[in-house]
Amino acid sequence: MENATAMSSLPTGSWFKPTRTVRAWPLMAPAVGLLLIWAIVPLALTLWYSFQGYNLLSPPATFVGLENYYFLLTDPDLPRVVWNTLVLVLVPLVVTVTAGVLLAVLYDGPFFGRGIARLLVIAPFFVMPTVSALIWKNLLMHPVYGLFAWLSRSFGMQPIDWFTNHPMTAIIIIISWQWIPFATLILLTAMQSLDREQLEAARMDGAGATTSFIFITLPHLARPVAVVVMLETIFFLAIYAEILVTTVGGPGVITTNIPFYIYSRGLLGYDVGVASAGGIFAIIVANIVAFFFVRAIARQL
Amino acid sequence: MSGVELKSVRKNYGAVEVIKGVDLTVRDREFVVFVGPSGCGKSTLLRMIAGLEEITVGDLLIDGARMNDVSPDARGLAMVFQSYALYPHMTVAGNMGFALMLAGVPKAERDLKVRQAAKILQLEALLDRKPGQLSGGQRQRVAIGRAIVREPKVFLFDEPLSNLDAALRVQMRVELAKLHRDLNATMIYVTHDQVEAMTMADRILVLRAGIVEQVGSPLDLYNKPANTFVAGFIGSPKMNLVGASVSRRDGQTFAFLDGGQRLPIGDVSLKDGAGITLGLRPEALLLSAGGAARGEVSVIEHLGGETLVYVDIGKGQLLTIKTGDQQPARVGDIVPISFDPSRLHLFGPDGQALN
Amino acid sequence: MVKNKRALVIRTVLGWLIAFIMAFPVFWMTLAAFKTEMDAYASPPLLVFTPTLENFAEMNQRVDYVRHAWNSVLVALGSTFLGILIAAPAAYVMAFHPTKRTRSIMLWMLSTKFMPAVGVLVPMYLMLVWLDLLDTRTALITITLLSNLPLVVWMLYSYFKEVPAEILEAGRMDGAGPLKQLRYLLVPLATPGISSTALLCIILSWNESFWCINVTAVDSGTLALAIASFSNPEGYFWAKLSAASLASVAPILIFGWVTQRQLVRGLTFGAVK
Repeated sequence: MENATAMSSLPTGSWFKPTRTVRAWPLMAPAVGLLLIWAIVPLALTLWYSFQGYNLLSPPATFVGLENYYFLLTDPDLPRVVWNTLVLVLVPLVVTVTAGVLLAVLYDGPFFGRGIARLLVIAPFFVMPTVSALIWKNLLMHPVYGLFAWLSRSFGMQPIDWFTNHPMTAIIIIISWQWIPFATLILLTAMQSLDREQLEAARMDGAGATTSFIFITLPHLARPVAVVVMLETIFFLAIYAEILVTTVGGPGVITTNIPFYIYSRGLLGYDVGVASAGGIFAIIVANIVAFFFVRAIARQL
Repeated sequence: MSGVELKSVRKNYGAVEVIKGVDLTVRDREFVVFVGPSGCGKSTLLRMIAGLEEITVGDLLIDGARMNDVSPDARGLAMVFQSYALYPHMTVAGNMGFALMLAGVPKAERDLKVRQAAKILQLEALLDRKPGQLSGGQRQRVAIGRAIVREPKVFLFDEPLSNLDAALRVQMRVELAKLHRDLNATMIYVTHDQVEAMTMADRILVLRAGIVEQVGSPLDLYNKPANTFVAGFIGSPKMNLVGASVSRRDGQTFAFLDGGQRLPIGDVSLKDGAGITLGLRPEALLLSAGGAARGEVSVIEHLGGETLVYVDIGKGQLLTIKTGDQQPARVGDIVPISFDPSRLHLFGPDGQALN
Repeated sequence: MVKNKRALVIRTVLGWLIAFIMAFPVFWMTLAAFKTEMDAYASPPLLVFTPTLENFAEMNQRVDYVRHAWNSVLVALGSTFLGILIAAPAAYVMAFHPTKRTRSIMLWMLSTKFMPAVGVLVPMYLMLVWLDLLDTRTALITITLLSNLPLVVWMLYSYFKEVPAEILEAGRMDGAGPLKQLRYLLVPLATPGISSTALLCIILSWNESFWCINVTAVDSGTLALAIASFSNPEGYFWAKLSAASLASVAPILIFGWVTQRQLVRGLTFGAVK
């Protein structure tokens, strides 16, 4: 067996141990290292600046202790801002997940032209937030020239001035419109792995459409729903462009969430100190949310 | 000379020990089968030889060289996996030539070796197909071909036939035995099927819960099982194992069966009243008068060439009797049972064979 | 099977109705893009009108469309390609050589996604100034890559886990180290999952608005920046605004529609057994 000896003279690959645990760090290092830097360096800098009185218009920075935090936490608007943040996470979550489940079931079944209908339904997912906010604000919801206003008038009703009277609802509608396709896409993918035999067995057991939906389809979707909830939470916590383009946080602070609050209080005034303190506050809030979500959802992953 | 040597080899997963000290020498060109029930550690042991699992304690030697820290590909081994583990995106030729490609063997030489192996396995017509287009038996051949192409010192097989249907399994068994002869190679083969072990092995290693129960040739294991476990595991249908206790009367030693009957046995160095196990192979039992015991026929299975009779000898204890007679008795009959005393196996209270 | 037929009709009607509602805003924007400003404001709204390309011409005069589109393409492709290159080895280790810590590392990676961008905008901005990377594609690619990285690792991890470990072990026996296992076995076998991951990344980075608005300008700005800068002064010129919007959305929308099948096939996030 001369070839066998040729084999054993090949590079032995001694740089990785012949065990189940391949030397993992060289392979993990780029991803983990970059994310560590990404997570720690800006955070450390933000923390540093949050103790500084630093306005880009009037440098240099001076140490002011907890003054920025004091300014932030005693702001009477803050509770409302935190509340808005939570509303802008939870309400769109409920809407998109509910709609996503129903649409996934609807578009999973066969009907005429289903392929094209599916393409139309997922279209909003590809539209960037600024653009979708612009469309809704101007072309659709404008109180005088918008399409909705015209519809109301043709039915003899007073047009709704969405961004003056129901600004929060308007923003929630825009966000939900953008994200329903995402939930639908993921849940539709999940539907395709549903065991058809299970449904047939349930039918043999006398289950109607509703019963098998509740006892078979919904449990099957539990894991993908957890995934949707987690990913959407990440994006909803950071909603910014939609507010910037439509209400600019107003009227007052009625539609201001934490990211937009930091933008308007800190960045617009070039106040690095207050913006950084707000940033730390936002990170804390996000981590509280993340703690609960990741905990609850980790089991599903 | 391509021997494999295991010296007090152990494997731990954390605090759990799964291989509890195995010593074995596989000689050059030997066909050794590891057999045992699922979870006994036989696949783990094979994977430790392959280098896919770390050896916690002990030494692995191939051709006398310590291999514990050598990477799998440099040990001069080839392995055939239970699921075949073919590369689904490569053609049959690609699968078989992958190792040579990685080793930098020139294409012409590679093609030649792949063709040679394909010829041995009658795969020449399939070289351009993908695994997905092959039948189970063909995939099996490709997996073996992939191993042959590397011209390894030792072939490792991890339950390679368990995914095939019964007829194909018998056919592949014969082909593997032939391959072993033709290639003149050392082979280590893992299976839970004692028929595969008996038919193919030069030597069998019986493993239970990480402990070697017995090593020996198939007939050794059949004729002289070291303990009740090996006795029950090797042979089909299973050996009858009947609980009894020792009793001496008039200078003769008897075994009192749990069912109440009494059998004379040769002398044993055990106290009166000691619990023993009698082992009788179904083919060693006869339905004939002058028998040592009797019982009621409860089930009869006709296999055509042979007939299995299940006889209740009291307290629900069933004895299996194998006979060539197509109509040996009827269900409900009371039948006498006899046996050749030289084919009686005796196991002590610890389950180990006496004598 | 009368009941089935009725269900089919209901499904068809409902399916198309919802599809129409969901797509309507995009459709309406598309119409507006080809209207004159007068037509765009008309009441009742016009469905039939004489289309014009004037808006696009004017838009291109105001912002350099080609330059922004090119930036969008480079940032999306660059960050996606590099992201997968960095994430794949890590995902390989996590899927096939897991340790006790693997799970915590994964959860930690995902938790970095919860860090609100606005919270670290200031230091990021200042760091880019120090590094002289403000308004460069390098900066935008790096940031987009990093913010997508946890998602990429997670998605790849869940696809890799579906590849039978025995195939990689066979590769090891054949002499393939981790990188060769990745290149010759895992990548070809997980191609559907990898392309789905890539598609999602491309879409997310194309539409990323926050960072590009705040750290880029003329040189490296993407279409998301172009439309944001366009929206203020032109806010009351709906036709031009719609034309700009359409021009920035159309490439990714068409791309998304064309690749929809690949995208959907892989969107399981390991959530489906």
